[in-house]
Amino acid sequence: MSLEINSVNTNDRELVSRAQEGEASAFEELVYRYDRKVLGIARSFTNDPDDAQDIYQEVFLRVYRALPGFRFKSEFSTWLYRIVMNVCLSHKTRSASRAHTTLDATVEPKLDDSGEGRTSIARPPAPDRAAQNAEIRASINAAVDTLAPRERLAFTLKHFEGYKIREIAEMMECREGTAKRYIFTAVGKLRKKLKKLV
Amino acid sequence: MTHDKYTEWIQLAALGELDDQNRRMLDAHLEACADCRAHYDELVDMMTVVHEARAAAPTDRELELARGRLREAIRGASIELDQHESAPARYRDMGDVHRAGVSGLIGWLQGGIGRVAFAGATAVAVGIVIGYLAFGRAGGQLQPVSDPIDKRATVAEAQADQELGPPSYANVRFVDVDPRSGQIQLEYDMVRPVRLRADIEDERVQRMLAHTVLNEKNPGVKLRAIQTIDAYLESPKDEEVKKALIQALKTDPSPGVRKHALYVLFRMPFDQDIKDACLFVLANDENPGMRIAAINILSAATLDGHIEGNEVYDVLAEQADENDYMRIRSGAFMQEVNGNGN
Repeated sequence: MSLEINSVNTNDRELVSRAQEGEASAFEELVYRYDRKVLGIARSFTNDPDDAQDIYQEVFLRVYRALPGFRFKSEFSTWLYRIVMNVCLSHKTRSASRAHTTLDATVEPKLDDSGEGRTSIARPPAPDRAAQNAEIRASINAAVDTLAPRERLAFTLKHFEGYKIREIAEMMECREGTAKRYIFTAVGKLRKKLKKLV
Repeated sequence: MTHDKYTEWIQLAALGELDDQNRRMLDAHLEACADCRAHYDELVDMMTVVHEARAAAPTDRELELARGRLREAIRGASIELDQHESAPARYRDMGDVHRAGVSGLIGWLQGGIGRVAFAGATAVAVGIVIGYLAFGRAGGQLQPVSDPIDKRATVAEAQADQELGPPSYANVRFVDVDPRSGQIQLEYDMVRPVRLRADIEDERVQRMLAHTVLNEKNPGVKLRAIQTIDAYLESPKDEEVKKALIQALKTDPSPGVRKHALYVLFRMPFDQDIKDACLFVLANDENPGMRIAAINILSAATLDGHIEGNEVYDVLAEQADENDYMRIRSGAFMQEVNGNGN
């Protein structure tokens, strides 16, 4: 699933040049090459189909407006994914309050300092596998939502989209060490919050 | 080797990023260190749980919806670019031109009526700009564009169509106000009613029909556009018409619109795009009537040799249709294609 964003792709260059000259079908083909991936990243990052649609629109409108000035200093895909990163990081969700249940309320309603009195959602009052799984998903999503935007983005790209750390660093325009730190910090935070689930 | 290093390796291994050589060293350590082993197992379990909770990949329908909206948004962006490119020429007599030519007007206001509260001056300026644009002399008015969608329409062509009155302005938005320089940036929507009279074969008419199918909110008007295409258009010259029908087929919320789009497409020369659209409907449309219509069309296309029966068979095989008639129809289709050796 990982994308080789450093590979030279002359077809992209050809399409970009034709799109820059005003050929609408070339631009459309460029979009179709990458848009499923873009929508997937947006969906993984926001966990909301409407927000994902908003990010998709914003990304490709920015590409449309900025394409005339694109000078092939990087591969088109690299440039595109950087735009995706920026839009994800600056995106405000449509709803200010989300309908996620908090981790504490759902997973550990009676947890004391010693960790005793664990109320795991693995043992709900009325056993129901589907409801149980839904609660687990809600808890995980709530935990991911609490991550800082860059941590969440790096974690999403690594864990949900399968990119290599090297690729994530290039997309996020940071060093590999920084990308690694975002991911490790995210994993550490999730590990603490989800300890009772695992 | 410190435990910190092993801790980092454990995380990298759990993420699938540890190279083989370091992985072998880590494995050897994990056999000897219970704490690290527990840490690694916990991480792997957590990753598994988190991975299973991930948001589902976008469906084909979601993707088609996004593409349709993008097409609409880009059309809007293209029109905006065209209007702004010619704005300086329209307001040349006002001096230095800003996006809506307001900066020259602000300068005139400040010099002519002295210093007033900036907010008050802004409100007056907005009112004057809108009034000027709506009712001002002909030389200051924006040139009409008869077909707001067709950015290639020339002014001569536009003036051949009947303009039904001055433009109206709405939805004024303040983008930026700079009290130091006196510059204001506004955005507004301009609508000029136009009557277009031309042959059905005219590309402007076809493009307008395509736009209506894609963008009109009222399903009755969309249906009217599709029926017009069906009744009068032998074969669309403009690829936009076919694309609009395919887009409507895939994403329009009204089943009536989708159904009409499907039948009009079937009357066109059957090609790869239409085949893919029908297969999309068969696989994704929530309305059983649409799926039945799609399978009927695909059945006819298969019998005519336009497509291989296997392609439809594969889609049907993946589904567990809850609709009884659909199951019967699918079974009949299998028999039809097998009977014809497809």
